Amino acid sequence: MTAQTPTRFGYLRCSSLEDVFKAVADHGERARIVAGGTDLVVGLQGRRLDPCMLVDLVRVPELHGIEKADDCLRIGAATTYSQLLESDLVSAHAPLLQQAAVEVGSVQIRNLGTLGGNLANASPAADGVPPLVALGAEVELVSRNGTRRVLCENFATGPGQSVLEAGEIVVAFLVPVCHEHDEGFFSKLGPRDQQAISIVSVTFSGRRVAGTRRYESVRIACGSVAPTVVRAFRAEEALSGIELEPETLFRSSRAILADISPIDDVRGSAEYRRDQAVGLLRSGLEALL
Amino acid sequence: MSANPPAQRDIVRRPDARAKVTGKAVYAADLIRSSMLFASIVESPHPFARVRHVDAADARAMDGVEAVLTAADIPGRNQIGVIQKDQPAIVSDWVRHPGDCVALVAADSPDLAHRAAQAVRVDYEVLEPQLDTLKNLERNHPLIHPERDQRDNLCSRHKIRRGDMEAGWREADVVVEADLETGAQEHMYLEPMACLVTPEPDGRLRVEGSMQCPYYVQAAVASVTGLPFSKVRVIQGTTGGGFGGKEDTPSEFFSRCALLAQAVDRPVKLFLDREQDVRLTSKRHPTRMHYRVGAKQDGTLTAIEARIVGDAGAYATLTPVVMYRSTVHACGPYRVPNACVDTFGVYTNRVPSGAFRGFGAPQACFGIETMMDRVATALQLDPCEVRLRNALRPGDEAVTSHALPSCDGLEDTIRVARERSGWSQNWHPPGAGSTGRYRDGMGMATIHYGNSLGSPGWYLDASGAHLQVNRDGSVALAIGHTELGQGVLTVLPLIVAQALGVTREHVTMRPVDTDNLPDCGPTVASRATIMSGNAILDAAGQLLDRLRPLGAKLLDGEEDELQIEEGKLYIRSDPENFMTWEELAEEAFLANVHLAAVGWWVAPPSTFDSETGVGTCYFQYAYATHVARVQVDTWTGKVRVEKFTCVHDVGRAIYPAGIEGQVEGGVSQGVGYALLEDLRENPSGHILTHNFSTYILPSAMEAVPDVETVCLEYPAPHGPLGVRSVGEPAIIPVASAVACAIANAIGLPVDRIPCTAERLRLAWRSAAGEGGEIEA
Amino acid sequence: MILVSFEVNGTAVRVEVEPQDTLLDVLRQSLGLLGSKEGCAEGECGACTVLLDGLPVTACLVLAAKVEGCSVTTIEGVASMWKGEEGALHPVQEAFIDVGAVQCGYCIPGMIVSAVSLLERDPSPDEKTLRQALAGNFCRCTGYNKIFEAVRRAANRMGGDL
Ligand SMILES: Cc1cc2nc3c(=O)[nH]c(=O)nc-3n(C[C@H](O)[C@H](O)[C@H](O)COP(=O)(O)OP(=O)(O)OC[C@H]3O[C@@H](n4cnc5c(N)ncnc54)[C@H](O)[C@@H]3O)c2cc1C
Ligand code: FES
Ligand code: FES
Repeated sequence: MTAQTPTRFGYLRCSSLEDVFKAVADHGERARIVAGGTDLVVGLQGRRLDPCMLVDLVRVPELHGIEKADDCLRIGAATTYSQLLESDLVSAHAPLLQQAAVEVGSVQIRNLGTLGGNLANASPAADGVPPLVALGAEVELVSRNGTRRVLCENFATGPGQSVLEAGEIVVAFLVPVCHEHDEGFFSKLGPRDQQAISIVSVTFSGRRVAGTRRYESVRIACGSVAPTVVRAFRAEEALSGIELEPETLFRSSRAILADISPIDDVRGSAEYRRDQAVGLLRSGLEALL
Repeated sequence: MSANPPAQRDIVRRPDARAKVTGKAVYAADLIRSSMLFASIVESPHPFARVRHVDAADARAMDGVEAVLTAADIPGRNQIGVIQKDQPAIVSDWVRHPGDCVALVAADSPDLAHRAAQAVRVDYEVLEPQLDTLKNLERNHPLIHPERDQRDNLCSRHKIRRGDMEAGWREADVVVEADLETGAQEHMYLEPMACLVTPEPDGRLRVEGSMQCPYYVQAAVASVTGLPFSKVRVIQGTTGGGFGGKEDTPSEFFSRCALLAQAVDRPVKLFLDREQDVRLTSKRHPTRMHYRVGAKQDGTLTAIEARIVGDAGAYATLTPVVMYRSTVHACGPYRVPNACVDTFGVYTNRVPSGAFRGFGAPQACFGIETMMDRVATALQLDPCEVRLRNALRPGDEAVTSHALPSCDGLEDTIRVARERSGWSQNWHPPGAGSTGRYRDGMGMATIHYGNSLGSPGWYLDASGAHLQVNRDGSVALAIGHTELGQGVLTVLPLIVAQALGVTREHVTMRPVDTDNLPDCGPTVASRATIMSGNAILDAAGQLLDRLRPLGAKLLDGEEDELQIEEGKLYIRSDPENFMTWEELAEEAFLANVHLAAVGWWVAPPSTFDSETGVGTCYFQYAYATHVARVQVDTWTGKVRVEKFTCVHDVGRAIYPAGIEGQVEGGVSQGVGYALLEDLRENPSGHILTHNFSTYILPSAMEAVPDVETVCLEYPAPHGPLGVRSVGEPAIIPVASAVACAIANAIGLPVDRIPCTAERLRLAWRSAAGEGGEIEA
Repeated sequence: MILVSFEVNGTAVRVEVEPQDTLLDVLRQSLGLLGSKEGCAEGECGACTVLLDGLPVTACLVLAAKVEGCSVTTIEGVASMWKGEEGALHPVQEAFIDVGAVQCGYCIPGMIVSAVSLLERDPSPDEKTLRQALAGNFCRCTGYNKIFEAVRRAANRMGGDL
């Protein structure tokens, strides 16, 4: 693209939700929301996308800010990874999100990319989403018709597909604050240690029964092993409520194989992904114990 | 011999560094001309097809499209092959790789050029792509170049026959054998290919761009445009990395851009985007190898049989010389009494393989060094000892039945590497180190590297240098070799300063321009310093012959007694009474002394017999040994390279910080080649890994924390001031040392590079059982 | 066409941009600031890194229309971020020259912008922080060793230790 190219589409910078709704209503299907642009602009460059109107919502106030209300953190959808990393509230109440944020892209990407964009983009490799799923977070979707809340784990329905309806905007996340005995990890295998898309990621969250090696309320989410980020229910079951012993971790971790359905692609084979899903879970648990 | 005092490091600052750190350096993409157009290539979507018809009417009709050219529009010869004339600038009949050029477009904007290229309709008869080198070698296989008189897909063939193989096997106490494989490697220079071609008012074409070899570009542009060389002026812009990728490939793209500029008589710019650059430009030759090596109980080699099949891709480009280098280096720097080496370059329907730093040697090195380790394993010997036992000593015949000139440094590189890397304390037999999840290993690789072009390239192995002393004493240097980041801009003025007796500050380099000097050959094969350096010595000698008598006269002394150094001249007996270089220059000017000289240096000839491989091969060699220390995570297959010890016989270290930079960069590229850089394609041969997120380069996270560079200085016979090459030797042993270290760590063979985490993990798991010790 | 006003290297500018133009396009083509380089146009290589309101970002991923009211610093403006003498380089730039961290130079403008930004946030970064801060800037020439050395040296100099 260059400054000499003819106009390919329009651009609207919105400063209120109402502006966004109007723009989306005016342009229908060919309106495209843009937040940080790190997914969208790559699509525009490669001409994989040809919208007629870009609707920029980064300056909409409702999409910003991190607040604690009762037992939830409310995180605006336009919060960048860098903002997540700097937030004391997040480090106190949802540290898992920070563990994941620091592994997204590079500094440059973390300064632009948003958590809302990560979810809305509905990539199975999204790194921001598994912690949301593992923490049982909800997302607030707002349209002219009102507001609804959806569990993050139910948001994506396939690669690039979600429950988001026409005219609906991701406005905020509601993340239950963690309890004093909550523990967890976000573990990512990428081809490099930064600036890498996940080959597999495994996120674990559970409440440790004090003085034991037992976890309850276990939630496990995996990236890049299914058409969407998925919960690993079988693995959760296998690892909940029992005393975890280093000797049996491998066997229990293998339960995750029943939860995932990876494919071969340019980043890794299904075989390696299965192997590493088990490995990441096992080594993450070992580090916790 | 002496190791470098690290204190020298701060002394030399690169003259090009300031412009580069301020963003002022001008690269090809930064060149802007009024009324400039943008080029685009109409690419074949098919790897192999026959072009039935090209319909450019729609594209031509687009507003802002100034030209659409097909093969029929080429005024000169539609031929750009450097060695074999098998590659058209624009295809007229057969497309032979995905992205082969079917037509060219020039338009007002890059975007429009791109859309117009997509509007060109081409009717193809699609053929089955031929991608398997071994199958393509079989008789009666479909031909990729049916127009050649040869009835096979062989692009190059070299062999070495030495001694008596039967005797060699008989004498052997152990014979090891392996099938090995190396992958393609993408250069991934940070600056994609770019150029600007401007038709000048005097009818000449001015070609500026990012390139290694202006004279190759000049020849290609002249060929396709039909212009004489003197009407094609090629100027190198600041070049954002080459590594061989901008050796012959610019000829291809710049000559296309020149065709457009000539057709529309306006400046035309061509800039490949990253994806195009990866899809359309050359790669390191992937190879499949078979090695069989015999050795006696004490590790002495008795015979080597090697067969290396390289994938040439769709056109020959540099394959014959790359495979020549694989051949000569196939048995390493060792005494091999009996050898049988066969190498084959084979056409396939892939983008042509070409030059990449090391030029066929890294592949051969992986072959031979892997085998040296396996010999050691089979005999339960220390692989370092096996290398020392067989390393060529002065007077020994190399596998090509000639002694290598001045190879005294070779053994020393091994000994020093052993000592500096802590080999004796830390090496353990394969698989016998740490147990558990993380396994440590050490690996060594030793190389020799023939400097410059060698026997097949001797006809262009000469270079010039132009030196001009201005009346104020400043000196302008012009050479025909290009700065690519490797530091010629820094080293050559140092040679001028030493040769003339002036300071570095006296010397300025002129941009590389084909108007300055006749053809100096390519900037490849680590030859720039040696070739241009010697030409500089010649030119400086001519100038001194004219200046010294005058100096002696002005100082009232004998010429024999005259000393010129650091910009001062004096009679040795009376150093206090000196004259400055500036004064001498002014006096010389007033005395009408001819203050410019062209120096010329021709590489000593070398030989290679095509039937037996007997020959001197290259006029001199560089030697190096690298030791890698790695840690393998057996649970993930990831390898952390912890330390590299790199010992190089550089002949003479003129610019030690530059050598370190070359070595550290070589280590990084070599580590990428060994572990990460996996060029993937779909079943029809289209490259899938065409960006930084899928083609995995080492990032700052993967940088090897500890790279120790040790320079040995055994002066070379022909290098200026004794210099040997270092640019390519820096990468050649790296991947092999890493592969040997991995095999040492886990006690399993590494048959293929890149040894990606996935391959390593799956291999480990199948050897170690289902859990592969994740269960441990 | 959209009219965008922002600040580049301390100077206010107003430019007309197309919605699809990136900040990199506008810097290079409309404003003639050619120091930021294009190596991939997909946010991966870091050659186009600039500071946007003080934070390093890849200019190829930022739509120009988004920078209304923002302040942008490019490699051309880095020297004046340091209160040195008129015309002096930033200590990071100096250090890159001194230790020989520059080879082909194409990655260098972006690398320096990232390094300068790192040292503003963390004047004496540890090894891991340093590596992470530069992980979005690929260099194919140097292997990064001399680049790390340059940043450490600049950190020392800026901290007054040198
Ligand atoms: C070099 C590079 C490296 C990367 N590395 C990683 C990585 O390691 N891990 C990872 O997970 N991702 C990575 N990404 C992907 C990307 O950065 C993230 O997905 C990021 O979070 C996207 O956020 P954004 O604000 O930039 O989204 P945008 O590009 O602005 O939008 C993405 C999609 O979401 C929609 N959208 C955005 N916000 C909203 C909203 N509030 N409501 C409704 N729809 C919305 C847009 O219409 C678009 O379809 C990388 C990208 C690049 C270029
Ligand atoms: S050009 Fe912007 S990151 Fe590569
Ligand atoms: S100096 Fe060449 S890419 Fe960094």
